[in-house]
Amino acid sequence: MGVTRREFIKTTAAAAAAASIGTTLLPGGVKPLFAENDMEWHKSVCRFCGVGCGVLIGVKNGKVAAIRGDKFNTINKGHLCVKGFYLHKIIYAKTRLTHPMIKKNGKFEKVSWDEALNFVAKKFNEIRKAHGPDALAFYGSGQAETEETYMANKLFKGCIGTNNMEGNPRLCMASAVGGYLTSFGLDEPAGTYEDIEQAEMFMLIGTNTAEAHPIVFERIVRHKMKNPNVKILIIDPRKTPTDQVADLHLFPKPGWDLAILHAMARIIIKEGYADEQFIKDNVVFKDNKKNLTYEQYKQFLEKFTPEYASKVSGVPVEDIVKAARMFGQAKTAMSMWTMGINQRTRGVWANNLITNLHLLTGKIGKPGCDSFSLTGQPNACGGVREGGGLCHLLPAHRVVKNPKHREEVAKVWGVPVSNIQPKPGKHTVAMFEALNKGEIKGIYIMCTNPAQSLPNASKYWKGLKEQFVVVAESFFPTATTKFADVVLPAAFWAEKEGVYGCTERRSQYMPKVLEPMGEARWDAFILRDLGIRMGFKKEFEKYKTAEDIWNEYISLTKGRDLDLSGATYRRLKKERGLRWPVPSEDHPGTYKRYVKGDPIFDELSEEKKKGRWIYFYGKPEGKAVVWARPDKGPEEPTDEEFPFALSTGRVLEHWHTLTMTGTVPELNRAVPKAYVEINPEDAKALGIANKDQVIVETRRGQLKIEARVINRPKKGTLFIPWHWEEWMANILTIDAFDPGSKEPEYKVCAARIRKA
Amino acid sequence: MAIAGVAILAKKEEIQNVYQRLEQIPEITTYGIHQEQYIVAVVETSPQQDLEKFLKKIQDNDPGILGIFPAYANFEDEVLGESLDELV
Repeated sequence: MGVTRREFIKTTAAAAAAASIGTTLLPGGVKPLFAENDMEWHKSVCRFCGVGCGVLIGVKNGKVAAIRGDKFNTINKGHLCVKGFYLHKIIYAKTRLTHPMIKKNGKFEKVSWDEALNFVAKKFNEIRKAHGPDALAFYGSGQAETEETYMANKLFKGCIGTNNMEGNPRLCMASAVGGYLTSFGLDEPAGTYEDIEQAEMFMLIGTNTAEAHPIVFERIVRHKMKNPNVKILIIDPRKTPTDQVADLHLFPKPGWDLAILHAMARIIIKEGYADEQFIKDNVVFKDNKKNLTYEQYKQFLEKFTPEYASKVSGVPVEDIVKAARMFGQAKTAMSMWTMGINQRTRGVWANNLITNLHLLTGKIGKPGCDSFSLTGQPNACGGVREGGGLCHLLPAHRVVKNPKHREEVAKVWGVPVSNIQPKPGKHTVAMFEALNKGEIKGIYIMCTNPAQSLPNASKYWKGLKEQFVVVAESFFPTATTKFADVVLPAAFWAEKEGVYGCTERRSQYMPKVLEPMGEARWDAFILRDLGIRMGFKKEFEKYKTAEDIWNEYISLTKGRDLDLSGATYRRLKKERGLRWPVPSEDHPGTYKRYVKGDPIFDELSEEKKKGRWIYFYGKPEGKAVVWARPDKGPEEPTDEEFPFALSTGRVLEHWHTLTMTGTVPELNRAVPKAYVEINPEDAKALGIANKDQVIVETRRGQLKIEARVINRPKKGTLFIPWHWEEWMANILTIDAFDPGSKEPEYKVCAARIRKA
Repeated sequence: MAIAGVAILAKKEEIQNVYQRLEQIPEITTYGIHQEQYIVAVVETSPQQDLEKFLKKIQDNDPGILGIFPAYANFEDEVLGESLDELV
């Protein structure tokens, strides 16, 4: 009896689903009923968030015809979220940009690559000659591959000679970087996803994990279901799908949660949950000006009674006490957070105060314990944080201010050290302000959409309109390409090879399985060719392959905290990624930093470690810092004129500014438009019914949008998903930023709402 | 058309009921309860039905379901224009 192709695919699909949960449907193994001899499968990484899920790309007759979760990938173990489902559709989107274009007389005209690159090179050189290197800038992305960001870094910092090089991780992860650096002395988490299955308690703060990081959420849920004693504490102003597994949810007023974290620390110490030996051995205390003693820190906390924190945050006293005890009583605890913490004018402080709880209780460095920042983009950690794609950084966690770092990088880049300026360039908000003022006259934007994604977005359209703007993108049009003078078609995921580094310090290789659409080219080679045309032939002509670039980059990581020198393409092509430090080709990678098994810890002398099991080697004497930070609220608190706190965020089905998910009809139809969530009590008081058109207004702009009356936002708060250009939430958001991390406060501003 | 293999994570105490409810849905073929908390299923949607919307609706309408996680999705008839009902 014959079998149809449909039956064949169904059994394959069922077997894959069964394998993803580690089970089999048929005796004898997890293989599908039939061999898939007409589909080539290629191991890769999902293009969306920072979780780093492994995917297998199924190619048939030269096209991507199927996607499956990679069951051998330790992160997602075969599962994907719905966005991963549709990766193939994005490759074939009608909005793919397939040829270079130059705007002539206000209209884009198709041109050759030669004409486009010669034009850009000529304009950039003219600007550089007339106004100096700092009149140029680069704005990149946490979605670009490490190799792509590396080439941009070399071109702008090493050759052109400006540190005006930023990336959109400034808008999402910079406060986490600031938090790790100030608490531990080094960026990125100590632990990994492996801690999830060993944790007794989770504190999810400022994260809608179920929608923004669904695979991490699934691992937490699966773990809790197997271990019903596992506790989940959520601290977030909004009720979200993550709540389905919460044991306790604290709903602070947006931006007022710092006092809660201090109050939890105070209860933890007072009720005897602190690990006094850990504190004695491994921790120092500081406030914004000076070192403190433990006693002085305790004195500082005295202000933060549960009653005080309750008054400030609006959370009931008993819930604050319960939360502290939940954290204190658990043997192991893992905190996770995202934009609700990072996108704040005191995002670094909020990060510090989360880590404080781990340091006070000794819940760090052990299995099941970590303060673990979840990342929003697939290569924000790898390409931008590690690769040095921000205005103060150089590759491999180096900084431009350090002369030794500049020398080391200049040597590898083959450029005079004097080319690399010692002063940091302009951070993102300052960069676009400088564009408005005409101080920056030319900008190259790669793989991102700042005209929509910047806070207070419309303020920055002036500079984009007036200055020379080059946009390298896979999709057209976007809110930013409207302002472009030149658009360059970039190869998309699966059309190029390279490396992504995800949340847990894991670098993973992605193969090229298709030729780029139309005339699209790989971003790294567009930058290489631009560099050559700008006069940097010697510096760029040597890069013939992606591996050439990766090899040069990992040579710069040798001996650094993020040592990737053992993560060669040869290994990465075979393995499901490697977690740094991975100092040699025979090293397995590192599960935990700062403890036994971390090659850097292992190499420390016993004299230095003095018998300690954990040593925060980024800090003097290996001691991490517990910070006594003030409990500042948001930059723009609510008042009589603007009585609502407005927050923005993601929905499961969409991602960022819709350049990708907006091309998938299924996802568009699932969530076709933006809306503002309003609490039923507030809606009733204002006479707003579900689906009414309303006007949401802030001091920066107003938006006509549909109301969704729902018991999700806390009373007095509004929430708008920010993905749509047509309902651009960022014309409302505030561009005030954290003075340390320079990350803007997207997550809270004052607003008012009325029926349209 | 999409054919997707999914692992459906359900509340342990509800999983039998969830399974029975899924069996009533024509677009879904179930492949048993596993590890007390997962149901393995294959979902077939017609071009008129959005797979994503379809899965979301199932999850939203069933409080026993905690999450639906795709493991495999095949769109080859759509991408390659081939019929799936011929013998192989």
